[in-house]
Amino acid sequence: MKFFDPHVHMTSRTTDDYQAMADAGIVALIEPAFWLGQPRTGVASFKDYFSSLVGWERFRSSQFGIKHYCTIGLNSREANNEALAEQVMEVLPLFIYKEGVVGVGEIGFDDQTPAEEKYYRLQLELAKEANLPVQIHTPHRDKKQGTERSMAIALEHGLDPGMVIIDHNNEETVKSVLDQGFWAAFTIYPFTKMGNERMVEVVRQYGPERIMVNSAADWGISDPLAVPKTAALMKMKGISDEAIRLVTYQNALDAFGKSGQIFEEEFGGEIDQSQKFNGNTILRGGQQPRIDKDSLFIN
Amino acid sequence: MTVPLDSIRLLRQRLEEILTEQLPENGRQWLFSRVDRSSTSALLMAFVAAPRFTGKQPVSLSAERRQELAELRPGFRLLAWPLDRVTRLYLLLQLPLENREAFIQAVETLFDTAEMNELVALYASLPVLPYPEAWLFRATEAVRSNMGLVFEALALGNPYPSEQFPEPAWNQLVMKTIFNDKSVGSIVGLVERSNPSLARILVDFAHERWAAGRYVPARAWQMVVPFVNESMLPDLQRLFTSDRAVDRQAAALLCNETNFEPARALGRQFPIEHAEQLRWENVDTQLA
Ligand SMILES: [Zn+2]
Repeated sequence: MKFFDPHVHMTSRTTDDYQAMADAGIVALIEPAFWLGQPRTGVASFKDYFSSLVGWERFRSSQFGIKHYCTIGLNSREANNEALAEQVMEVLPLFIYKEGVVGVGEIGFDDQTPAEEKYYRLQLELAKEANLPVQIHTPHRDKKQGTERSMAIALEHGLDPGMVIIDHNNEETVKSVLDQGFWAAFTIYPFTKMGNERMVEVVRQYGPERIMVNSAADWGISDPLAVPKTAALMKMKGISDEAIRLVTYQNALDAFGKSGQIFEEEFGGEIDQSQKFNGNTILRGGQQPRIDKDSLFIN
Repeated sequence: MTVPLDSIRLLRQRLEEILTEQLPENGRQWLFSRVDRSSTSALLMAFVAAPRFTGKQPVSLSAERRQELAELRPGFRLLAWPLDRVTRLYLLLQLPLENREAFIQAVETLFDTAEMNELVALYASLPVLPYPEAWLFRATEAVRSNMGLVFEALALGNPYPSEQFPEPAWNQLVMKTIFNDKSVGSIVGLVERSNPSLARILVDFAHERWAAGRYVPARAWQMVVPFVNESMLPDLQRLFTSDRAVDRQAAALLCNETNFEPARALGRQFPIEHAEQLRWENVDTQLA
């Protein structure tokens, strides 16, 4: 089976993870812009981070035959530094129109402060103007309330719920999200978010329509193979192959495909002809050479 | 060389004709009616967004067009550029060409925020931008790039480096090309910019590679022709006894073209079949 992980922070992961993801059948992924574990102090750090999402990380991913997309946005935590947030808003338009940028994200609420709301609204307008999907991070604390508020504001700004992906859902939030016509994403993340056995039950109860699974793997104790593992568990628990395909591949593609930036025929390691023809030493044939980890010899 | 502003304006005119003919309908609409070509920030945004509207069909150029472009800027070729890249060059040439400071600042902003295809467009465009000396640092950054396409856009088929790079940067570019297993023969000015220290670096590098049981691309030896001396005779001997035909051919070409008589004499000891048909272009293999 092939998989699409629509939320994973590869910047925080090693190349071994890319290799394992490729081996597990992941053919495409989306890396949302987020905070890096500590606050940035200047707009240049944001610029470099956004550049790495559309540049180096995309290139690194391609070496493993995984198509890398990203969403670009000012995350809610750092929206609270208003002086900096203003400057970030100025450079955002130079990034959201770039190739392979499939949405504005991940944006939304964390502490649910007035500053968070202000930049959430401004970025919704930006997404509307650019006709891009929006990837919404919902808060850990006061999740239900925060999720409802995020959706209400998106509707207030006239966004089509079909262009909005509400992320980090759980059993408490999913019904309202689906009822209002939004996409419902679930993050399979050890200890703090969903476990995949619960996920199986959600799909059993609500069916596969407009539901998608992601790993949100980052610098924390997380699992970049969460999507294929959840698919395997669904299979064991008797979920149909078609339902598994929808929640671990097709729905993410349909939702973020509305950006006009996803071309399924490019999945599976197809790389630019000139790259293939004149490969870099690292790049030969477009992909990283395999290392035999059981071998004592290093060549 | 610095391209005169008049030629740049003429090039912009030609690009406009090409794009008018070849862009898809929505791309043409977008570029010529919706992009505000008098606003720098609108131009920068359009540069970024171009592929969303133009697609990536390769540009097609008639023989006359190619001729015309070659006259406007010798050594510069649009051949096989995708339309988004042609559009990006066209947009660059809409920036305030006469205002040095403003022009440089706008292009620097693009470099600062560029993703890979944008970098390719920027580097491939360097030969036709005004103020060529201003891009020198950026150009050396491309040589340091780990992204193959970015490196190629600057290093191969591009007249900018041979015209602008000081010798150490030039030598670095040539050696990086060999290192990256790219075609040395595609470097513009390879023979003209050859120099004794590059020849020495190449010979040292060959010794390292041979010690590791690997090869040096045969075409690279062309750079050594003017600098063959006594100390290189064992290396030539080694090339003549290589198990790769291209190495033996390179040795024959070297010995034939050098003025250093002992090397010419060595060449006569290793006759090669069809020697008169040998060309450096034919030993341009990318296999290292
Ligand atoms: Zn995240």
